[in-house]
Amino acid sequence: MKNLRLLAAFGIGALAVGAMFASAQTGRTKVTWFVGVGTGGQPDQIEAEKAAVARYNKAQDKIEINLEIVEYNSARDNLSARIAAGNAPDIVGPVGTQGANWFKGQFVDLDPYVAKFKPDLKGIDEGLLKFYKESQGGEGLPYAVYPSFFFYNKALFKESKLPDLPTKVGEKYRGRTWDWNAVRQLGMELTFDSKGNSAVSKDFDSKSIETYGFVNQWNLGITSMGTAFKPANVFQNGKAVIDPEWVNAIRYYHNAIWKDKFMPSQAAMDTDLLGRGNAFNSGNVAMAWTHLWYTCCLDPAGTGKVKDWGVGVMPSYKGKTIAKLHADTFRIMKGSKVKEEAFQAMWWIMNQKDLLVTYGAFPANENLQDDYIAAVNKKYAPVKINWNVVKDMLKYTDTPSHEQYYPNFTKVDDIFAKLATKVLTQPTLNISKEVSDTQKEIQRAFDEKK
Amino acid sequence: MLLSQKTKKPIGIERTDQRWGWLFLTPWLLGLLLFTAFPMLFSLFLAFTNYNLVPDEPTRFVGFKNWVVMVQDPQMQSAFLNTLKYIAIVVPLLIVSPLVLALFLNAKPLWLKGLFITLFFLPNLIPGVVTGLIWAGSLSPDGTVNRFLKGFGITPPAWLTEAAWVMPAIAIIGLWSIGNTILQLIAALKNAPKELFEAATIDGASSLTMFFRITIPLMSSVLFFNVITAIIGGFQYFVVSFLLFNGQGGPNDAGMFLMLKIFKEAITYRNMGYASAMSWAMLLITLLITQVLFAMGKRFVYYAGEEQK
Repeated sequence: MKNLRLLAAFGIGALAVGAMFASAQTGRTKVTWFVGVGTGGQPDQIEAEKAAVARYNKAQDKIEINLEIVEYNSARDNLSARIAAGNAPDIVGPVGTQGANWFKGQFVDLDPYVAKFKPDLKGIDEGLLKFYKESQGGEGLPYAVYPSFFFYNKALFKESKLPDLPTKVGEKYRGRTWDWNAVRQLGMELTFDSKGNSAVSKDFDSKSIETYGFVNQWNLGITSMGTAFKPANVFQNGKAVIDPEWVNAIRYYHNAIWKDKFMPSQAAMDTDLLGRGNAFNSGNVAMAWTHLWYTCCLDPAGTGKVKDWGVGVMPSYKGKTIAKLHADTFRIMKGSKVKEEAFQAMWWIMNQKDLLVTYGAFPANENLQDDYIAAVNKKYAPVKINWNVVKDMLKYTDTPSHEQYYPNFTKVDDIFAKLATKVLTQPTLNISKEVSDTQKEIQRAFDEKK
Repeated sequence: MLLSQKTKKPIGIERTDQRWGWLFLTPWLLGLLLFTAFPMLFSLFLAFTNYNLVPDEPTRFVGFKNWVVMVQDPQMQSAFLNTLKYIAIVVPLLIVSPLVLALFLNAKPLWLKGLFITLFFLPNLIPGVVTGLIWAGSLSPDGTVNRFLKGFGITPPAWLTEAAWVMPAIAIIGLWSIGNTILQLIAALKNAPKELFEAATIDGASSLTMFFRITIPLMSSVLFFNVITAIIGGFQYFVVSFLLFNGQGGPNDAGMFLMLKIFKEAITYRNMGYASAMSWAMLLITLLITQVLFAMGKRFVYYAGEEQK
């Protein structure tokens, strides 16, 4: 009996100590950081995010960041459900324009918090501040930009005795204009079957392709494809419009996969040969059009399959060069109950150099750019990245953006995704009919919101 | 006399018992009212509004707009057709194949029956999400199924990226978890009175006649139960299709089912009003089909101990 009492007293004591410890913990304001609706879910990135949160929580005793990482494919639904349940996280990011459009109207205007906490914005270009203010209504401060350009596997180019890609807009390639026709020709020359025949050869066997010439690496949306040919608005005076140049772009990609065979289909991309989706990193694709964020997932030269790679400028279409841009930021949700603390934590996160590197995010803040470039150069040494290409492509961004807002945004996004899936999976496709059907379906989605 | 007894007010112990009965029932009744009846009725109200899960406009009454949109929505049509196709193709498979296997497993000469039954039942212990993930990997271009087919020199199909192969893929996945039905059918087979078979044998009935005239009628109640639950399950088909196609419905919407469509409208697009209308439509269709089946069941299903008219 005495032992029991002793045990009970010990238990109560332990509970009391636990409660004291818990109250000390809850004394800090908890801020939830939600990662998933943009970049941030790759294993390396998760490690960096966890490390950053641990650093922050250790460095001060006022605010405690709780990190929540949701897989990209389910993050959109997860965040919707949380907002609806009144359990919205405080900080969301990194989130791009498209991700923010999914939740339009759910983020707070940061101006009052900028006025109160006066974060150092000196390093950020005035024009960029204005761009974010105009395009995102003060809901996001400039964080990172991801221009798009070509990555190419130099070893595969050397094997085919082909020169490097142009590094300046207007530069010729093999004496000809560097445009999407040139990409087609080059892509076919760089596509090989198991017997070493290229796609331009009569003996080429398209059923045993081992090396592809080109891939849109994680960049296969219809708005992305179309914008490379011509930036255009989908929502025009209440009407759904798919620009004729977008139709040309869709036809170009469909031919690239099913007729010219220099680009992999969805089924081919899902194979081990092409890294189950991470095609360029597999070493079996010669060129990839993607954004700077792809450095997240391209292995360092020492350990990866792509031992030597370079970057080239975007090809032109009818004389115009378009390099679509992704711009990421962090945002605070309207449902947050601790907005001021969230702003302070968010600003700290936005200034972490290691996170910028892991996100492959070219910093909007000029004070952070040199460190970022040095870190990326170090990661990929001895590969030498031509940063002029990256910076030059920022001058050819898409207006209107391929991530433009339109009514019933998420549904229209999915309607476009359905068409993109058809392009990637159906060898025979009546493009004109499919585009017409898609346009009608989008119109219906617009009308739902009338 | 009987009527007067029924209408008589309870007295004494009877009344006390009744009070206690209600008291014990109250938590369950409250739960039913709060968490089932009220949400159901509320969703019926929502079906006539533009209610958005994350409000981007004021909620207002829209009459039958959601119902009209539903009829015109091409994705809804695909979802409905796919669900019916699933019920028409996959559900019979989920009934016939366990029946064949149950007969095989119930056969006298078979050795290691217990082991086979255990093996067939094991997949039922795996959660649906895990099943979906396993099959997503197995049916991928370099997955186990395709490697197996390639081993025999067969060019494997693109199970998950070619619209025509989506339903066969889903049927294969469905067959993975027939163990539960097999168990029920074996139990029904074991309960079948032996004397009926003995009498039929003496009368010179063939095995086939005995199967159709004795075995099937005796198992009809179990088969009927499984048909009903499989059809309801078909209308609620969600987890596997969600996982196989990342919630997108797959190529040409071939993997878009009613439940997935409702989920997408409610959660992804946040059109809760429209999703509520679809849910009610689904409920009414399911109710209609099951009522028709129950009406047919009165003719075809045999319940032991029931008085035959």
